[in-house]
Amino acid sequence: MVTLLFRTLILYCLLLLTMRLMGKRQIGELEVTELVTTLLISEIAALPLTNEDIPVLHAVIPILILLILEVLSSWLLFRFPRLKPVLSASPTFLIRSGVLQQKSLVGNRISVEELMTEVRQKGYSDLDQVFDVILEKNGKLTVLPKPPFAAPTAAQLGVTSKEEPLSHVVYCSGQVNRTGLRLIGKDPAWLRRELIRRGVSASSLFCVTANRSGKMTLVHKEADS
Amino acid sequence: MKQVFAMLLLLAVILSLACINAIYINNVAEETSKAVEALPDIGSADCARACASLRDDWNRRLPILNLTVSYTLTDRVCEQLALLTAAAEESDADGYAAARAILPDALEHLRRSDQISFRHVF
Repeated sequence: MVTLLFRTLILYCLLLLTMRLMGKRQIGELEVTELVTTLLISEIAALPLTNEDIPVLHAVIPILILLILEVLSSWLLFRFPRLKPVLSASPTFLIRSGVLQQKSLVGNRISVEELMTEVRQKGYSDLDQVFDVILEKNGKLTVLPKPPFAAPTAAQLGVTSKEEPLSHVVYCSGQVNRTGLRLIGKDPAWLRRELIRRGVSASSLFCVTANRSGKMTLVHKEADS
Repeated sequence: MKQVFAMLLLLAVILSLACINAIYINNVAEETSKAVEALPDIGSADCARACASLRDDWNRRLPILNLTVSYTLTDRVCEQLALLTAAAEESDADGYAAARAILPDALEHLRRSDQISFRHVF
């Protein structure tokens, strides 16, 4: 049982490190190779956890090899774009300029019912409301509507809206988030001054978000927390 | 780019360790096999001591072997060595001969576990 405990700890740390080194692409599964690697890694890691006869290194070495292969193959694809068609799929139009691409549907083994499901899930009731539908490399469908069915933008309505900079967490659970403050170009002294100006004590706050323009959102602690 | 170099370095390290491991397993299997062949006959005075010494040598190497060799393979050798030692102490000629005959086979399986061969890969 103790062996199992240590193995789980080792493999968990190794998987965390591996996924971290592979980067966000792995989590987003942008490429087929990344999906394959993710599936393989989880299967391999499970082996020594379920069978104590198998040495931990029988999982560690394959996981490290997969990490190496994944980083090298993504670098190769980046460095030599001509390899992309070999190692990864390209996006396919299922509907182009309002016209259903029947050969693409057959080639990708997608039925019209499945296509309709995706279109409905994006908020459109029929195919004639849709201008383009693209089957992306990661298997997801992008639906672009025809202009009459697209939500109007502020520019189309002639409405000028002020650009709102991104907010970041600058204080949470009793801790000042210096990274968040740095991202908005402020420092802890600014945060202290702002809280004093608003007459609020930091101890009464659960979290604070702020942006570069100085706009702050305060979330107070709940009564019993 | 740094990440690519780091991965290539890691690959080189893993390949080196794999080669060293394969050589180590091969050497241990070969040395133990030769030691089994060189064991005295059941009737001789130092038979039991020689078997015990062989078993001790094996047990010393076992922790490193078990880092990369599954327990199924090493346990088989351990069992046969235990039987060999017990047979030598009890002067059980049949048991001694049987264990002595099975041990090279078990060691060969161990050696093959880390060999690169078409049959092994497929």
